[in-house]
Amino acid sequence: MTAVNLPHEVLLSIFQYLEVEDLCRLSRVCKLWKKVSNDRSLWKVVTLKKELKVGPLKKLLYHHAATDALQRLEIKGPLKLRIYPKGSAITDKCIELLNERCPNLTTLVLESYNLEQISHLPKNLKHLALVKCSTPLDGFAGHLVHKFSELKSLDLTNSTKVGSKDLTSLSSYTSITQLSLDGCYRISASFLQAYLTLEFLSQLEKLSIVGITMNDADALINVLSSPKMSMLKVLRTCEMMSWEYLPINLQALIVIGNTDDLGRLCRVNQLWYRILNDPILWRRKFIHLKKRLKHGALEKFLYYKGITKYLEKLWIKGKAPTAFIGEIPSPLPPYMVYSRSSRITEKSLELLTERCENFTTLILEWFNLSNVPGNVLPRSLRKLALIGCCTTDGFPNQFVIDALRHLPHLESFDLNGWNKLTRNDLLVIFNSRKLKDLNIDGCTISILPLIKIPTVVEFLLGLRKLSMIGTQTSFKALSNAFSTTKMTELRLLRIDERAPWKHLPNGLKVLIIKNCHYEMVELDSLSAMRGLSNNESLRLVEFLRLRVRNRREIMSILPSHCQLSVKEFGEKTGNAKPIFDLYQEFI
Amino acid sequence: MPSIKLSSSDGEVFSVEVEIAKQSNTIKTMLEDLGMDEEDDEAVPLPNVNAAILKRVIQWCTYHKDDPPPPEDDENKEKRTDDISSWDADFLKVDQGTLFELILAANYLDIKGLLDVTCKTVANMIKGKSPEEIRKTFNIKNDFTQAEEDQVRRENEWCEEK
Repeated sequence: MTAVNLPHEVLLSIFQYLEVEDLCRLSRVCKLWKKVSNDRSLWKVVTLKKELKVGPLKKLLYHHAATDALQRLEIKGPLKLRIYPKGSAITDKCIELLNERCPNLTTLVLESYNLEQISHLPKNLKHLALVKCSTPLDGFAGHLVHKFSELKSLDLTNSTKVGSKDLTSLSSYTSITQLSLDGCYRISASFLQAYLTLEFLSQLEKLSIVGITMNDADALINVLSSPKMSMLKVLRTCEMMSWEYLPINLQALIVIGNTDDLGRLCRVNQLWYRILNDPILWRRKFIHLKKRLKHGALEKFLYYKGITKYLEKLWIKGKAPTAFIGEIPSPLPPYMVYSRSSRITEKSLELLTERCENFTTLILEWFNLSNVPGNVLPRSLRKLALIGCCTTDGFPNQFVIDALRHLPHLESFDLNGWNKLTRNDLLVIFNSRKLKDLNIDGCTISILPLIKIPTVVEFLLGLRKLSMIGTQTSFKALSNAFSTTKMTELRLLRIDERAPWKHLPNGLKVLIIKNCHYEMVELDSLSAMRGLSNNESLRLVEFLRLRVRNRREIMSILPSHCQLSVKEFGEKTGNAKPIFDLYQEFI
Repeated sequence: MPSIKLSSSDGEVFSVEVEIAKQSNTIKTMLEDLGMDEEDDEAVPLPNVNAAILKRVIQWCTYHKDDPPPPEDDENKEKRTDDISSWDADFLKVDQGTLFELILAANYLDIKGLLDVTCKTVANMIKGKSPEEIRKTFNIKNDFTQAEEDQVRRENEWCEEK
């Protein structure tokens, strides 16, 4: 049995998992595979993650056999702020090709391109996003407004040349129900009122205006009172607005601001109070409060808003020791003092248990856990993280012991930053129960002497993920314990030529190595890393905060399916999400 | 536990719990629509699957018998290939011939979970490779003439450009 004998339908089931770049390479393999990789079902959605210049885009549109199957095209160009590199301009010829060769295209997402002509784009489009694009000033204005008669959503996020005359022309597109003008600073609230017709506004269901110029509160109110509006996203506007009227059908209000803003909004008037307390607004599965709430405010927030029966994950921060606000020191200094406001109380935890049916994840940062019983935690809890928390009643205190004993489903335990943890404390954890995921980053103890104890070995054998950045470890001693485990993810500190790369667990998929200082990966450690190449299941090797000059050499050492990623500390990843996806998440 | 008998193409008969066998939609349909009696002693013939492969398929189904039913395909959802469980990855550490036989069997027996995970495994073998590397990996002969090869390269060069 060889790959050549596989029937068409089976090949299709395999090829559906591949990106377009891979499909293109496949079509050069042999005649049969060319036929299958050009199958129309594989070309309905083309999303390119890497940058695509206009030249190659034209070639794709011109040469490819399956462009008529294309329904959704999502591409990113080379345009940068005030820089117009070659290949960033979508030419008339290119638009012509789009029109001719892609008759079924309904969704077009263009990011970072320079567009000379908007009105020539395919008129059947239902969804159009021009993100970070340079559009001609008032490009929507003009005599071709009868185009895009089916356009339902228009996203002009950060296409900053969109101006007031564009609004006038947009008004004639009455099929639009979703509009995003995020970052279009030329547009102001008063323009929205002056240039958008009532008819247009009454069609709108979702509107996002983060970062437009808020110059006139009353104007904005008139705009927002559209009867169909179900979702609205605005930027910290509450201070300047009287908020008398909100759309009646509003289901989601996303205010990019802090929770104080929400609190203030509640006090505006009764209507607002009612809307902001509407349970639909609070049906969140995941709440991550980035702001450290003041004393008592956290409790109130949780009691009135935060904890609903839909809540599954909660991530809150206490008040860090004043000397270190903003920067989390690692390892934590012994003279750390917590203020009164960073206590988590029994009552909040009881609320979680009472109200939430499917609560799975609790992440507490910088809280004082002294004298809090752990047996009031929801029994459905799977992940418990106590990052940088402290106790005054010693460790392991009642909270931790209760949590380990009483939570039947607990799989993941995170003690990041417990620098006072002693070996005996760790032994208590190892002896108390089986876990699948343990994080002891920043705990300076060494777990080496424990490895010979049978219960510890048994514990390690059951682990799937282990993170021990900052703990004192000798790879050599660990290697024997690790080589037989089922571990799939391992995070360690430093790269070391004595590291027993050969003895890493067989099933390991992710290896993350962090370095405190900007050290180079030296050549002799590279040669030691060759042991990694036998680890076939390895999918990702990531270096955090490490300068890697010889990236290519490392790539050649890694197994063929393994990705290499090098991140600066604190680097943010991922692209900005289109607003309407955010909406989905929110609801 | 009621069980049924399955007979492979080379005549070997396997006794399998009905609940396990029903992960195959093909067998499920046979049992439900064709009114095959569970008490029936007669083995269900599976002419497209040999004993060695059937044994593996049953092993997979037995391990996954308590899994929730796999979600329906969603075109808009990103297709991931990095979510293969470690048990499955171990299970699929087999030679290519066996892997393809497993795909064919999963396809014929209509076992979505097994088909998904085997197809993902093959997709991972393809990802990021050049045409020549793919030919080498799967032992495929290049059957393009020089002219055809130039043509197909032209058609696809857009994605290689920087």
